[in-house]
Amino acid sequence: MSNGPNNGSAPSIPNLIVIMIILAVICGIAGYALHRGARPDDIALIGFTAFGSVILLFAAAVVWQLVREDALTGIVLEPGENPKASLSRFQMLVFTFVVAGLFLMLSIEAGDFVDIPASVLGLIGLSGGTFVVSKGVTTSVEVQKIKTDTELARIKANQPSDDDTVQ
Amino acid sequence: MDLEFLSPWFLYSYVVLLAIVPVRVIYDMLTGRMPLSGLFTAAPSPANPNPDAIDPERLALFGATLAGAGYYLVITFDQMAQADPHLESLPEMPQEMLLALGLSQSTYVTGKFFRAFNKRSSSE
Repeated sequence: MSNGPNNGSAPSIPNLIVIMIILAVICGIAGYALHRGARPDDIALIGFTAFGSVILLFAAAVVWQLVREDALTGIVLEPGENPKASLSRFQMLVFTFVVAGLFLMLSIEAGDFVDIPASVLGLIGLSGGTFVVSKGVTTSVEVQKIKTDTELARIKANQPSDDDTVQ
Repeated sequence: MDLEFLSPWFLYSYVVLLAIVPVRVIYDMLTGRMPLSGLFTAAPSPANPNPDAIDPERLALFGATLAGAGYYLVITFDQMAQADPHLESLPEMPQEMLLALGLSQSTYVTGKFFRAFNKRSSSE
C-alpha cells in the first residue's frame, strides 16, 4: 500500500475552499432562480450549464492528465519485458478514431444523433474482437513462459516446490 | 434527442477536447516518442529465430486497416456532399470491404495463434 499525500486523509484546505466556492455558486444560482420565480426553461438551461460544465471539466481533466503524463505513448504498445507495438491495438485505434470522429461530426451537423448502421457496428466489433483474441494469445504465451522459466529455475536450483516450503 | 437544445460552446469545446487525443497520438508517432518498431514483426522468442523479419499477414492487416479507414472516410464525405440537407445516418460499410477486413484480421489472428502454439511446442 502506498502512502500518498491524500490517501485516506481529509481533503486539504485549498481543496475545501474550492468545494465551498462551488457549493456557494450552486446555492446562489438556485436561490436566484427561486427568488425570480424561474420557469422550466430557465431551470433546464441552468441545469444543462451546470452538468455540461462538470462533464466538460471531467473530460478536460482526463485529457490533460493523458497529455501531460505521456500516458498516450503506450496506447499501441504491448506491455511486457520488451514493449512492442501491437498491430491489433493500432487497427482498433484507427477504426475507433474514424467512426467516433465521423459520428460526432455528423451529429453536430445534423443537430441530432445520427444512426449507426449494423455494418459499422460489425466493423468496430471485428476490430475489438481481433484485439481481444490477440491479447488472449499473447497473455497465454506469457503465462506459459513464466511457468516454464519458474520450473527451469526450480530444477536448476534443485529446490523443493513452493508448496513444500510454505509452512 | 434534440441536440439543438445544447449550447454550441459545449459541443465545440467537447470536439476540441476530443481532438487533442488523436493529435497528440499522431504527434507522438511522428516524433518517435511512441515507438512503432515491431508493428510488422512477431515478438522475439526461441521459436522465432529472425525477429526482424516482416510477417506478411501483419503487412496485409496494416494495409487493409488503412484502406478500410480511408475508403470509409471517402464514402462518408462523398455522401455528405450530396446529402440534402444532411445525413441522418453514418454510411453503410460495403460488404466487400468488411469481408476483406475480416479475412485479413482472421489471417493475422491465425498466424499469431500458430506462432504461439509453436512457441509452446518448442518450450516443452
